[in-house]
Amino acid sequence: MANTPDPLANNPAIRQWAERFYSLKAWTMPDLPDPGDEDVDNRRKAALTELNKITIPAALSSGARRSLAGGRKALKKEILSADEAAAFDKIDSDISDLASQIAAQLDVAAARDLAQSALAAAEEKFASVRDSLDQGAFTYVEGLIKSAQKTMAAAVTDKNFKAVEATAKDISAKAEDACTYGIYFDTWTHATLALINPMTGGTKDAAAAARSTQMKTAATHSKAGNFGAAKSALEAWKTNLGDEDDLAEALSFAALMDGYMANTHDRCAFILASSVPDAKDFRNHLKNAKTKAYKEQKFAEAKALLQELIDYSSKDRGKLARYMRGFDGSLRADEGFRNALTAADTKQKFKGANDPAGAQADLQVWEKANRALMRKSHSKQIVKALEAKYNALKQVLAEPELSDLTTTWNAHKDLADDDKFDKKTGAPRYHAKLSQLFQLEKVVDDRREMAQILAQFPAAAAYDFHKPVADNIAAQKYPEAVSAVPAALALLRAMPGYLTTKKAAGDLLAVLPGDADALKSTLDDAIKAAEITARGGDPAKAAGDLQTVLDGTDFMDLVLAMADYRGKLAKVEKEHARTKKYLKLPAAESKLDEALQAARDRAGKDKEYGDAFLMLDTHEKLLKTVKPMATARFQVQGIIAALKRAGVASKELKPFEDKAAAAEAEAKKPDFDKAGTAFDQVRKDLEKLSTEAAEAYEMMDGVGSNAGHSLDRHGPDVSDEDLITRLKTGKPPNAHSDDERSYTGASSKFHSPQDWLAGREIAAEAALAKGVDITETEMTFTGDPLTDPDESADFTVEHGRPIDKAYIGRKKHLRSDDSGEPIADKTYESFEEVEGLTRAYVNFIWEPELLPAETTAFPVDPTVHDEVKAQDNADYVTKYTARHNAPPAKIPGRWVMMQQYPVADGWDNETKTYTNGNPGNMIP
Amino acid sequence: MKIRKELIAGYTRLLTMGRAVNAPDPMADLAQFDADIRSMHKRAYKEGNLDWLRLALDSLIASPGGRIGQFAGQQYPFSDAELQALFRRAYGMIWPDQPLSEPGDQADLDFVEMSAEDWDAFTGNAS
Repeated sequence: MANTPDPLANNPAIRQWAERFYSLKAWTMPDLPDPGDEDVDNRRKAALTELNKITIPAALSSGARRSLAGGRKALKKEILSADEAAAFDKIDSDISDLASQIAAQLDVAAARDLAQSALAAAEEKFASVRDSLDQGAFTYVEGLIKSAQKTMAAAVTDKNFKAVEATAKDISAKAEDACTYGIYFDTWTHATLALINPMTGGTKDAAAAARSTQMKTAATHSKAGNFGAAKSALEAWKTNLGDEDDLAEALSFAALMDGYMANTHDRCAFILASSVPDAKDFRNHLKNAKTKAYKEQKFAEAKALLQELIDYSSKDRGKLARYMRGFDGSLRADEGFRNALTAADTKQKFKGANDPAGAQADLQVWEKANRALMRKSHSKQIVKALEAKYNALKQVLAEPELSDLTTTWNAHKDLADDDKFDKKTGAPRYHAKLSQLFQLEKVVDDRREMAQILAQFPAAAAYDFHKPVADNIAAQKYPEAVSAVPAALALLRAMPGYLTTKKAAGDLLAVLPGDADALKSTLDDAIKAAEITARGGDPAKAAGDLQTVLDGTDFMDLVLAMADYRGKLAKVEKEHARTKKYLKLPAAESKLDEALQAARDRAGKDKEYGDAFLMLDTHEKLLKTVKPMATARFQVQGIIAALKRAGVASKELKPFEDKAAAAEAEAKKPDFDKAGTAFDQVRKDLEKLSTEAAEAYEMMDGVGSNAGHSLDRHGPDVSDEDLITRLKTGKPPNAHSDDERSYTGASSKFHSPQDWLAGREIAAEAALAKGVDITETEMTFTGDPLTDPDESADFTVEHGRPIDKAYIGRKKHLRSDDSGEPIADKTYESFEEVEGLTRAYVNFIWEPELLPAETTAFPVDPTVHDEVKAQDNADYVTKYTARHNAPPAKIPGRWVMMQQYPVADGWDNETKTYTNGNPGNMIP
Repeated sequence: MKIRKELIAGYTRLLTMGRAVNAPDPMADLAQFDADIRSMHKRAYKEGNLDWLRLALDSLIASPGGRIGQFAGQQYPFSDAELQALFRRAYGMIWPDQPLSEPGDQADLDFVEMSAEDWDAFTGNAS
């Protein structure tokens, strides 16, 4: 959806109005002619009346509105310039055309909105179900979505958009069908595994082979969207059973088990671990149900056990279990409490009254009647159960409430630890205050949002919408502060919109021509009125009122020009900064900065927003040339440095360094086109040396280490088929035997050895900048593992250009564990293909040298020690000290690159961007 | 309360994408992760985020359902139960004297995408 262009702005039917505006030079408007020919005057008056009825609705896109507003101005100029009555025949007709065009475009805009919503809903539906689909259904629905996205991108007319909407709705329904089939597929794989597991010999092999065949047949149907046929294909497997009805039994149990695990298991585990008295009677139910199903094939009995466990683990019993945790063990000394507990047990007993809610109510009655006894229990519970929440809260609160929280918490805890539970002098005196303070937890996120708004829009502070919260906090009236947050936040949320509109109105006022008194006065009045409304407590209305005035056609062209400029500026500034991160070439950066500043000045100083927009457009185009050059240069610098580090002979490197220097000279001029071509060529020419160096690095890293598998598992020579095989079976591309396995959640590869080598070197240089020299071969041990030198350095290298493709695992295969229970495997049934990835994760790790085979005097003299590998320095020191009765002065070792692979986490394959932010270790 | 997911992922990544996951069978013996756990401990300590790491691990261990998987990384197909076991081992090694919260007692942390700048402003670490 994010890639969907705005078709309205480029619609020829709309563009004609903009062209008319420019051809008539309608930015200058003649005065209303003095009265003359009555016929002409009357026609003019009528035409102006009709034209004034035309408004340009905000529902249309900015580009369309500007074009149509231009057309309106052109017509106005024609009306004011016409000197013959006959001329108005065409003008009247054109006014009518303009009105019709706007109405038609409104229909298109409405259809487009509906299509967008429907497509977004289909995409969301697919995202929500994709992990439950088999590969066939996954491919089918994904294909439908991609096709609809293409149709949407090409749509222009309302008919086009209506077709997209219908298709998208159909996709949502199909995705639902696919999901229903996916759930059946899961249950079926679960059930059939359970049925096959106890079989033996040829029967087992035949059933397993038939299962695989039926799954392939089903996948063929699901890939075509025929989920009914797919389901039938799976069901047909039952002919492999002595009694075909067993499949239905097994399916029924598997479905119940899936439901239990998804909806009840966590609560059940909590109840079974609680002090609810009859919990012990149910602790073996799950285990026994599994044995009945997976070992004995007694699915009906297994189901009965599981159902009983589900019934036992009701929500009311879960609440009772949680409530009973509030009773401190010391209460058991009280006979009244013991009696209350016994009565509650009788009432909640599953195989009895089975009324846990009633039991809880009874206990609460007892609690109210025995407050003195319960005070100690409450204090103990606060100390025990709220500690993690307290620790989290004190991390985020600020003064003055932070001190109040810590002081109160510590005072309560000290008294509780001293067993002082008197209502007035003991720990319970703080219960009410703590309860109030902990309410602040509920509004932490809202208060943070308020603070963010105030930080981003400092002017919002002057409206005092945050004051009720701040004042109540300062007065330690926490419940009042908490209550005040929603209203304060709602008002503050409206402030960015209001302040932005206010600024736009102010800017407009500044650029209106000096003789436009009426316009100025209207706008000035509107600004003042809006400010009164905002300060009166309705910034949303103030923004709306002001926007309505700005949307008035008299201002529209200018307002839109300013809005377009601001939107473009934000976008271009972002790309400008991103490009500079790669460039790091002062001469070229200055040129770019100057160009951007010139556009800013054209708007800020000259108030020529239209020109400024065009200058930004030109700058954006320039950045599109500069960025690929900068990223190619970024990689070339990395590759050459990596080759030097690898010890490539200088005479071999010289020709490439010369070419890189020549490219650099072009970049400094700056001639970005030439520089880009030159760097691309150097990068290409470095392929052979890069391959050799990359292989050499990998070989060195792999000696005596688990490292050294990056290239052969993620290198450019790995085929797509190998990548998929690794996901589906775990067998890595570099497997030395058919049995070798290296499971992964995403199988990816680099496009070229240059990408791989550049990534390694860029990360190595980043490590050095952080104080980690990967050429180091010795480390000092200080005795404090927390302050010793780092033994790992990991980075996410953002290449700024596509470096890779990947297959991301979605739905896992099922397999039987040793007990016969079907469990998720490490391999995948379905996967998603993505490409264009731009980030690589690189991880350097320090590996201490092997401790040699040797004989030492420790722990007893003599002791023969085998050669042994230590995990890290701490492990090395422990092992060394055991041998020598003293730690080593230095630890020999080396840095290896343990991983380098393209990052698929957070990748949006449609927009070709990462949805997650900076991982915190990003280069550059 | 919202917590910057990447703050914690930056540490857990040292476990899920460190030394041990390159072993032939990483989950066969969790002791294979000990060096990675020490690396994580050291980094969180140096960066002043040990308290956040402890609260986050405690919260994920006590309530893993539907959210612990987002810390799996892409290198190895950890199941939720495996991640829980791994984080439990890390917690036990780093904070041997501090018990884990019982389910329901953990800090209510909501791991969300958030810029480092926003997080620093929120926690008062902004420069």
